[in-house]
Amino acid sequence: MRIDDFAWRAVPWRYGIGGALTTFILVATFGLTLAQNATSTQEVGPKVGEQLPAFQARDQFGHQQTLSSLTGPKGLVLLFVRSADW
Amino acid sequence: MQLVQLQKAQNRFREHGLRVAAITYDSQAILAEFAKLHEIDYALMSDPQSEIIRNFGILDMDESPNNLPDFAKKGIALPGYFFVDRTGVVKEKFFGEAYYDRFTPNNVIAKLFPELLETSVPSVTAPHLSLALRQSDRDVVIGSRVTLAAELTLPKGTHVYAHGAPKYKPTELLIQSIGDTPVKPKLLKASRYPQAQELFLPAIKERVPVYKGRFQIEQDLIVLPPREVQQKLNSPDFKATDVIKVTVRGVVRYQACDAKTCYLPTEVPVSFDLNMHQNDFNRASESLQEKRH
Repeated sequence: MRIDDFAWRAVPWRYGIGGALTTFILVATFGLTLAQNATSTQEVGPKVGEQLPAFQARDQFGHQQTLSSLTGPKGLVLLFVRSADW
Repeated sequence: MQLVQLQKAQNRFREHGLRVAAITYDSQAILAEFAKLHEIDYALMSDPQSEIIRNFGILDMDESPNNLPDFAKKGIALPGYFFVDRTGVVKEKFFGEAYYDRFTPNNVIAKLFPELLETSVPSVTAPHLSLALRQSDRDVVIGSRVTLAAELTLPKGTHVYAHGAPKYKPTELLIQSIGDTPVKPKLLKASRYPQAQELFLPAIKERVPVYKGRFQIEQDLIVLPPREVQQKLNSPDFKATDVIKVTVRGVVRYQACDAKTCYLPTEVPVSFDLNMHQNDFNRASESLQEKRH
């Protein structure tokens, strides 16, 4: 692994946290009952209850995949990651 | 790392009728190489033009150097999971609040099926009740978001208080330190408490929220070990197969009452062991690496 990769990764942990901290304290103080039974998720992309957009993509074996080719009997867990090349 | 963890967790999803798949903006050649190296056999899909990522509305707009290495292209996805039913309707989603905040696949399973949280400490000595500790993962990397949980089992006739009971201490799992350093509040994410029951207390003529019987309280933690552990993990001498054990400590607080007595509030120390692994920063073969445009 390259050390300079670590350098840019390590830095964001150390700052830019003040605002988040204040927000957290407010949430921690007043939000406890609201947090009950809630799964915290960033509100991006299709919401719970909405339909995923149709998609088609080639996998590592060269196969074309769609929702219906991927899903199991009870559904699919689809993970988006940033990159496999970092 | 999530891609490799997902391979290991795949069968746990399959046992519940679910399949897993992943998408990145990398070329198919890069994913083929990565899948071969890590023996990934679920569908690892390439979205080289980031069309799917844009169509889903999960494009990462942050192009600052904090967020991206200088060789990255535009068009990466925010990291996260969608759980959809057979028809593609979203049932749950798990996206972190920052790029370094990554739900582990085992944590996703534990959110979908809370009974699948693995018991890590079957019995902690605690007055008035039985206490067990559970956790979604033991093996983690920097930034893994895990679930830590306490399972309380109360004898018949005993109750403890939930949040919202005036004058009584609510039942809580508080995570306080990792290794020898305090846990920063921003690393503590969603806590999950069950629905409380209402109990009528004739003495004060009030209804108060309580828990009875067996229940579980959960706390999400983004794993960031102390600085010296981070430095060891990232040192060139650290091997991919090495692990560093770190202990997460906290307390379970509650106030128990039975038919006769309300006891003083109690605080029981708890701890969860984690094995820290190195993040995988290895790049694809040079011939496959894509240059910034």
